[in-house]
Amino acid sequence: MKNPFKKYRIDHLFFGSFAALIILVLSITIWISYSLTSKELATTASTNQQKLLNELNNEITTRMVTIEQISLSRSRDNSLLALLTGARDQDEFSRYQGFNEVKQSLANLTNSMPLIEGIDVFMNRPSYGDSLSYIQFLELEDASNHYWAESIRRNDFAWSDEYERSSFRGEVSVLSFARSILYNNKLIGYLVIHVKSDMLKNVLAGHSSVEVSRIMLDVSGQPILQIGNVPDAETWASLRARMGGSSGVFRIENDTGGAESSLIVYARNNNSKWTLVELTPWSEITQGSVKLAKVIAIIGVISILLTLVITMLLSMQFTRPIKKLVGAMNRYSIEGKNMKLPEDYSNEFGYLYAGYRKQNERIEQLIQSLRERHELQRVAEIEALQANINPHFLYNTLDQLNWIAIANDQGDMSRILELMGRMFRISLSNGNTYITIQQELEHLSCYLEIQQIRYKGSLQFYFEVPEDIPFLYIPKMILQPFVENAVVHGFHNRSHGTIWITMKQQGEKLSILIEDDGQGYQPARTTHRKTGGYGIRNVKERISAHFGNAYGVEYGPRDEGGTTIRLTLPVLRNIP
Amino acid sequence: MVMRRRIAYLAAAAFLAIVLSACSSGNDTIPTRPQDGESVKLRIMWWGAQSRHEVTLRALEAYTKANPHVTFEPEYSGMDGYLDKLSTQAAAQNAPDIFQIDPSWVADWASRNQLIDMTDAIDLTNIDAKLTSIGYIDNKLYGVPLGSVAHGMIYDKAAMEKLGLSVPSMGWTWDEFFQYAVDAKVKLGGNQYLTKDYAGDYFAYSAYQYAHGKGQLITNDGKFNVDRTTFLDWAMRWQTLREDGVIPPADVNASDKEFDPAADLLVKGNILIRLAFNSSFGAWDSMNPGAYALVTMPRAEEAGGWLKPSLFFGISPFSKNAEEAKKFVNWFINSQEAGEILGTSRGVPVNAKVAAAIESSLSDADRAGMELYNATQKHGQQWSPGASGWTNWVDKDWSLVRDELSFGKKTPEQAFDALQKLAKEYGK
Repeated sequence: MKNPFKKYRIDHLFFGSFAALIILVLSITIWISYSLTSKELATTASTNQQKLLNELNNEITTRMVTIEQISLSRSRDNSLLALLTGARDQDEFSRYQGFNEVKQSLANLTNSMPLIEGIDVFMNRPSYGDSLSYIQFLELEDASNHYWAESIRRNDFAWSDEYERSSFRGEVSVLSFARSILYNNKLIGYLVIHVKSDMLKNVLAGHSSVEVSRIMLDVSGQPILQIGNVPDAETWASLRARMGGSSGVFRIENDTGGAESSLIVYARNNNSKWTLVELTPWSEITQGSVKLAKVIAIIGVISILLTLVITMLLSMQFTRPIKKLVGAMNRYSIEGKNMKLPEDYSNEFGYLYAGYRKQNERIEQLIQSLRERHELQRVAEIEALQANINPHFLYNTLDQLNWIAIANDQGDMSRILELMGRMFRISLSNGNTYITIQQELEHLSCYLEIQQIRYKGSLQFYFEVPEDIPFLYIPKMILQPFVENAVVHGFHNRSHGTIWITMKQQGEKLSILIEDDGQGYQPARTTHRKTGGYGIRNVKERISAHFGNAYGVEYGPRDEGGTTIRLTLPVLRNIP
Repeated sequence: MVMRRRIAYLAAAAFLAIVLSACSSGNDTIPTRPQDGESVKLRIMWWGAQSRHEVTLRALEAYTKANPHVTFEPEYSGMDGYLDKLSTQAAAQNAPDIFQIDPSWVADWASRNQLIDMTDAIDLTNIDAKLTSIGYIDNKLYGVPLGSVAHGMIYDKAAMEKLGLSVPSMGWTWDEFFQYAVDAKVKLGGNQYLTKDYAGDYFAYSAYQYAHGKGQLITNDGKFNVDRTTFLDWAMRWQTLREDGVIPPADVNASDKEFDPAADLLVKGNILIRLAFNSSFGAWDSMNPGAYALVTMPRAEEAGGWLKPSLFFGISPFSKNAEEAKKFVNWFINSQEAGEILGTSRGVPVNAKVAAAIESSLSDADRAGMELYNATQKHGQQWSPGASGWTNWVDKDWSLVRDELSFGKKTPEQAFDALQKLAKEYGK
């Protein structure tokens, strides 16, 4: 994948990465604060809840123990025992009075303790009962049909869990405390005190204004009273296994049938047989952290928006110069008006602008010079075309002269003109700089033959060239100046002379020796003379220019008289 | 550089804001107690039969609907044990905000500072001054009358017709009553009787003594006024019936519980006639629809029955919501809506306008009650709440004497002596 920093627009990159960074930091902050505070809140909540549960446990225990104690004392009450044992059966009035006494005493108890919903006495022969009263006398044999019967089966006394009891006021939700009344090891009745579960629930709720979910468990862990939103019996049975010790806290997840994710705190007092359990929905515990996270998120969003605006402004500050530069580059044209870049930047952008401006100036200069050169070239081309016409004109003229010389029977002149034509052709040689040695030697031969005609055969020349050398290349007209020098100066005022040209290949060097038997080498003389001096200097410079200082020209007097010139050149098998 | 520094400041400020908001939001989570505001819960207690419970509960619902901030915690039961319960709660200063009392208790309860003055809160414009006068103690209104009832008898018309008995007629006499008991027994089964044993019944004897022109059992100024001759005559008549097996034996008599479908002897078919207030007719009628009818209390030289204010509402001095309670009581007696719901469950509405307005919409049971009411109104005794301070004599001492007479533990003379002796505890 391509590095995005090489792909996307710089302002998008700048803006996007800055924004992403801030969002990332904020998200991490929110998450950390949420998880830390929710953990902290859960700990605080469970500690407080345990304290509260202990207090509530005390309160409830106090009430329930009171009921138990009342039940105990009433079950020992003489008038009740007398009624149940049938001690007063002999006299119906006395039995009736017995009922009234028991009823009155139990009614007083019920009236003075709002917690008590009603009291049932189960006995044999329960006459004078009143179904509209709080106090009921019921048939002992029917006791097993009542809801609480199950709980008392193995005990002398027991609490039932909460249930709906039908009374003359309709269905009333109660907890029943049942106690068997034994006399001489014989069951003679039950005293059942029904406690208003609503009042116990109020205690269990702890006068709390918010809805709470609490369960009260008996010794065997069975729920006997519950308020709020609590799990069903099956779920509860599975949770109970997790409650070790007298108090503790654990968390249940959502997967356990129906119950939402909750924190469960339970506590049992040392002096109580009840265990109170509180379930708090996890969402409630983390409410604070959620709120905190929300606040942070809101602040985060605001600051992100703010930062985005700032980032935008900032990135614009950074990208505007670059955009300007890019725009200037896009719209650049050599001719015409170009975008002006601001000149008040003194930082890197300034350097960039300055560099760009300098480059543009340089480019303009170069283009200008190119244009000039192009113009020169054009002129040169025209000149060269003109120059190409001149030789033809010259050849034609020479040809005409030749014909005139033949017509006038001037054999020598005709011959000279012919040789001159050949010399011209070689010296022009299509404008090439290099020619073969053979061509060079031919050119020399032509020149020297013209001189022979002039000197009437008293001029001799000899070429000593090994077979393979004539095909090597040398710069054009490199020997001619020396030969001309020998003829013009060496044989000056003389009627004869001889020239030797010897070529030798020494490794990759070509040695060319030009000797004459003329007046000899006269260095002082050269200063006075222009033409020959120019020619030789020209040769020296050309060699130096073409091949460097390893090659060159040496000259000096010849031992037998005359001059020796030695040229050293590279062996060139092809035109370089 | 300047730009970058500004960003740094902004970031720092944002972070600070987050930290601060974290702290402040932490404080926010401390739960604040919701303002109780206007929402009040009134405890209200009354006694009566099932039919009265039903309409009263409906009236409470209607009131809550119109005044959503007021809810009720009703406590209701039969008459039996009611006074005990109310007294016990009052002793604990835990009486309900509003409670129903008998007109004869008003003076007692007011003198014990268990009722508050409602003078300013209750509109008595359309209410008969004879009824309201009972609620006034020292020119302060302590009890508000809820209705007016006639005291008479209910009889099982269907059963009587089936047995070929003539049904009692309005304006019958005590002599006819006792003769009827004897005559009817011939046609009745072994465990069936015309009437239960009313020998020791305070209200039955009151009617008897009234009918014989001997006035109230306790005079308005608090004097024992049981006429010995009349009482012995009365008790002896019952003793004869008891000995002849014309009235139920004591244990059956004692097992009778008014309005209890399983224990009410009239409902069970053990007896054919019993004392009744016209307001309670509906309660019996609902248990055995169409079977019963009402008849006036038997008379002698004078009429035996009387009209009386049935019940009163009082408000506990320990009520935390006395103002709301007063408003409710005012609504209960003066609003037509309440009148329509309640009918004559507590007697004929005390507010004349309400009574007139609902007349057309009365149920058949209510109409039957109205017949007795109208019949009694023509020939009725003047009822008086009696002197204050005798509640226990009426409620407890008479009950004992009743049972002793029924079980044959006391002779009529002994019973009279016992009542007279016990009365000395109360006399001024």
